[in-house]
Amino acid sequence: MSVVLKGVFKDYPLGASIVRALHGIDLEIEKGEFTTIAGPSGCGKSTLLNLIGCMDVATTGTVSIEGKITNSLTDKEQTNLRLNTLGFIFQSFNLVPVLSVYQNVELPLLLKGGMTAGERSKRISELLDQVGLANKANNRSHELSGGQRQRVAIARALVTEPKIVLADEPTANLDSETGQNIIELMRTLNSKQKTTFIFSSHDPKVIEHARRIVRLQDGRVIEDVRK
Amino acid sequence: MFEELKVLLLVAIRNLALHKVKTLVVGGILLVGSFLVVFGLSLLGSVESTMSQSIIGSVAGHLQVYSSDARDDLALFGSGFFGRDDLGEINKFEDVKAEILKNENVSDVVPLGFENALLGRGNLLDDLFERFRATVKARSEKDIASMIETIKVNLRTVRSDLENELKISSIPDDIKKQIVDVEQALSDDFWLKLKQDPESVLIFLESKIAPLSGEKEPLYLRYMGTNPAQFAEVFKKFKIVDGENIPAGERGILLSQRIYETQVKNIVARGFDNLRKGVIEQRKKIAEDISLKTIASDLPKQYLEVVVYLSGEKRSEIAAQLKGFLKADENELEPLMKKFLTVDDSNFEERFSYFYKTIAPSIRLYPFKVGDTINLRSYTRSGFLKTVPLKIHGLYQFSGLESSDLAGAFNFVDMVSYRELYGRMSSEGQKELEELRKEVSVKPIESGSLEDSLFGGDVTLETRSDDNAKTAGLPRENAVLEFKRAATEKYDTAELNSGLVINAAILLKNPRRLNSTRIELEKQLADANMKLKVVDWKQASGTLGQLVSVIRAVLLIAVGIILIVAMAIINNAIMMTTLERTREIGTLRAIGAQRSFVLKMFFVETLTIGLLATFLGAVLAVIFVSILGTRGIASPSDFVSFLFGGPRLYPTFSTTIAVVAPIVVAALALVFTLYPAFMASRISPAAAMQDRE
Repeated sequence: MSVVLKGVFKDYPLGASIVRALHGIDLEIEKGEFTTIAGPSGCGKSTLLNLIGCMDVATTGTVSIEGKITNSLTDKEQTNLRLNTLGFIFQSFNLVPVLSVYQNVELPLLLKGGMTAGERSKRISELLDQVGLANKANNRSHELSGGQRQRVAIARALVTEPKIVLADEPTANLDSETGQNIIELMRTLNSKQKTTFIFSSHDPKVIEHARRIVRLQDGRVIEDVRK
Repeated sequence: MFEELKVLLLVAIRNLALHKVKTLVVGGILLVGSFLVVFGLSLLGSVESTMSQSIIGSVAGHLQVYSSDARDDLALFGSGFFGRDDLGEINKFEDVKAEILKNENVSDVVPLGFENALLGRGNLLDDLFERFRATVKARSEKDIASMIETIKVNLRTVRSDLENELKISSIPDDIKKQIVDVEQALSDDFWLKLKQDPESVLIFLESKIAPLSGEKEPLYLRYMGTNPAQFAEVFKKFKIVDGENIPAGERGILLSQRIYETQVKNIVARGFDNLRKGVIEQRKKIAEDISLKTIASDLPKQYLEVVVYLSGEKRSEIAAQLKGFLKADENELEPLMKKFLTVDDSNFEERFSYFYKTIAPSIRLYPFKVGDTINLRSYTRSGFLKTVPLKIHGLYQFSGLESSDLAGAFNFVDMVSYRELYGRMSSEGQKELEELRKEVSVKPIESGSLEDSLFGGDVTLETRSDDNAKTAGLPRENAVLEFKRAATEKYDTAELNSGLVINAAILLKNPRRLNSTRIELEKQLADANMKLKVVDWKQASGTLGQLVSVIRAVLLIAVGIILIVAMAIINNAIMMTTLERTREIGTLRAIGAQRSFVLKMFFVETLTIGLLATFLGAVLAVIFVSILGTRGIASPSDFVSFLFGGPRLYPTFSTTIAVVAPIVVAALALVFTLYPAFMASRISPAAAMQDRE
């Protein structure tokens, strides 16, 4: 099992009151699944992804990633988990603006260490080839279109060969055609590399590409279907 | 590790380029801060070195030794008070010198002792009557007649002054009596008596009339007893500019050229000199500068100081010349002189050159000159006023410090005369004194020297003339009144280096070892049972020596405050960019960057811009100092010229400061990056999810 959530509640303080973002989520995601967390904004999609992505901790309940319960991990351990096991794709691409395409993709490898420059170069070239940006390696992110940037982000997410890739509304800032292409790409990579993909979306056209759709409403799972 | 640093540097440089405003603010502040520190400290270091040369090379030497019984601290350049410091005594200098010379780093020990003396300047009429006495003595009828005219002119001025004073005085009766005296001196009957009884006429003038013109302020002379030949050899800056050094075995005084020019010289000439300095050298305007204005407005009031020296033909000659020069209607000298001395910006240059070309040669510019003998009056340790006649052998100055009042504050006398003024007599002197006493007891005591005879029993009687060296040679019967000098001119040169001194300057072979040698000497002297203090030149020079330390402290505090304010700005600027970069930092954290990486990222950024900016600042400061080092900085005042060791300072930079200061400033910037960096490292990786595009 890739991701297991058991009885997860998440509360946020909001002024003097407390807002409950997640109401007892139980969810299991298997290795290699291509899953969408769907639902309107404010339903708890991002909170759920944050918990899976070790960027936040559940108020009650447990989250385990690749068999490891994350609740009690230190910041350092969580960071290492993100670095080694998880890959992230963001709605706004979040490339480091001062770095080139190549350097952006290289960054997680450098953080991780243990690879020679040659090994890194080989790996990055392969990935950029797969996402169709082999000729843009030396461009800076602001020279690229939105779709191209998201492709760079995908390459960056995959470069460390993570077990799970998390994508938060990856197509929200793209036009629908580009968005569909991105989802297609993610799906291709998913089937090739058996990486677990979990992405959130509220766009029906995007959602329909998923093999499994988990619908959230008001912090509860209201539907969980596999196609 | 290396790879990580590469990324950090890359990110840092790219970020610096991206946040241009922040980079410029932070970099600019650091550049200026580093520039100020390097420049300020280089300048101060240069001043300290020139000042130390000024102090060491003039009178202090590297170390000074004096009695540990001293109640006051040694302050060669004054403790700030014109008082008499109690510095104790070194009674057997020869022993102390021998002991100190045992230290292998000591090259020489110069005996010293300083004290303040009074030099009475008499008053205007005193000067006039003194010359009259000499004229009467010379029995030149023509000169006498001409001088009587001059005296009468001056008496008329005194009378009109007194009449004016009468109108406002609270003691009108006294003034009326004085006017009666002046009237008497103006009468023809009075002058008829000159033939039969010259002495009574002279005494009336000297005792009744002279005081009416008011005493000039006495001149305070700071004199230093030493071994003149040794002093000149050891202190390389010391230079005789007129006459000669006090010859071996002779008594005498060397006057400071500075004092001679600025305090002894005729007051009107000094006024012209000071105005010339302000108007021509410093390009100031009399109308705008308050001190020049005061000098200029005082000048016409001092016309008597010129007129009194003009008599007979000279009077009418100068009056005629002035009349032509000023295109004036008056014929009388006094109003013409007053008019001539009324200077302003438009006429000053012309008047100045006219004064020195036409008037100055006819008046006495200096009351005494090289070769004359002056009577130095000083209080002995036991409180007696002691007068010692001393021949002015020469004028001296310290090279490079010609215009400094501090360096020119001393006049040098031989140690033997010093001891006499101090109240210690040489064995030779004691013997002489006995003979003198016998001689004096049979002479009539003149009123002017009565005080000395009463209170300073063992004292030389004051001579009546500055020119007593000359008059002393005249046959007794020609003299109107005169006294023989007491002390012998000669002494054994060995006396200079033995017996009493107050302090002594120690010169070192290797000045770098100054402090260790000082400690060695202190121990050495203590072991030899000599109760003496050894201080370095800084301490010995009094408040002056500490001046640079004080300036440095003030500068460092000021720079410190500026830097702290600057750092607060830097802190703020980094804080602002941190907020801007929240999502970027969140992303880095999300994709696996540890908190420490974020911290390092900030540090590398600050260090990159910090070291770049501070070293650039330091380089600019070094260039600036080097330019000043070839051009020199003009000293703004005579006092500063002492600190500068001359009229211009040629600063040099210290490599250590140029390297260390920027590192320190950059490190400070790093400290002020700690908080923003810490805050940045606390940014949650979830911040990457915040969408603002």
